[in-house]
Amino acid sequence: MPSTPPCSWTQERIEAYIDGELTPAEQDRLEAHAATCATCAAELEDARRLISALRTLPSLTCPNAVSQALQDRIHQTRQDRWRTAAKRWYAPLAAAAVLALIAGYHLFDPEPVPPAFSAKEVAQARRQVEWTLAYLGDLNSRMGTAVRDDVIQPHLVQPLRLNLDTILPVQTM
Amino acid sequence: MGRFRRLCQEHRDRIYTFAFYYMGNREDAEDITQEVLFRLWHHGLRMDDESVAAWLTRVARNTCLDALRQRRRYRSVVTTQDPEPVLQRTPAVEANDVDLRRQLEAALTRLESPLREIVIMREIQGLSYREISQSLELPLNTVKVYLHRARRRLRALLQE
Repeated sequence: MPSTPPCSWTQERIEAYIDGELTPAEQDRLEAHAATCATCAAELEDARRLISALRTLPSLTCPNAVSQALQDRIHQTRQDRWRTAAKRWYAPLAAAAVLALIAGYHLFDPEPVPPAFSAKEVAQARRQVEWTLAYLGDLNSRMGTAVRDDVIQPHLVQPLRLNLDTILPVQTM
Repeated sequence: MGRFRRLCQEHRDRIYTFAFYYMGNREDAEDITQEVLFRLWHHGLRMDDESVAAWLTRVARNTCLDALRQRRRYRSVVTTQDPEPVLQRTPAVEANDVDLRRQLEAALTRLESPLREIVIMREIQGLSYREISQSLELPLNTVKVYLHRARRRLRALLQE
């Protein structure tokens, strides 16, 4: 018959005994002690009752409210992610688009309209042209070049005057 | 969303049960379950299905611990006393031995970590030592030692 161990030895091994983790020799010693010690027998019984009670605690069902709250939270998180992405990427993209528009406007801008001339300026220009033509005629005669006046007048002075009359009045203010 | 929804359906009751017995009340269990599943959506969908259960348990445990730490910090600000946990009943726990269950649930919330999670996972949820060892990243023999210690401590608490 195995020797009876002390209470401390038994109580240290009660849990392992219940879980079947003792060697056969240790089991025999523990059972022999519990058969003669009311305190350790009660401990053993308490330990068994506790495990039994723990194992009767029910598994619970997660309320549907949790799933609904989770869905709402995921939806909200997705929206926040979109907003963050918009702040991170769309703002620079929008700035680049505005810059591109401005650059394009300048690239394809039509020729600037030349400033218009006043009537006074047009009259002065005409006088200068006529004076220049007269000077050319005089210079021609003094140099002895055989260019007749009836050639200069119809072929140079009159076409030029006609052109001036056609162009300059249109641009006056 | 298909895989995420399936994983939620598979694991949410287990997470909720763990959180309920760990925190001792329904509101905290709901908040923690939502937080754990949100983290699954946020971080966890890259892992394979076999790893999800242990990962979820680890996250559930850490989330419970964080919640308790925050509560302790809050209490240390508003009061110097640590009040007894307030347990709320669920309809499923209304039985003949309701008093014992109530005492057990209260005693569970007084167990320190990791004894509390080990006894919940092993005795209430029926996980194997290997699963507990993987979830808590503890050696298997350490899990057994802690489980025995947890049950001894629970017996002592119930006798107070």
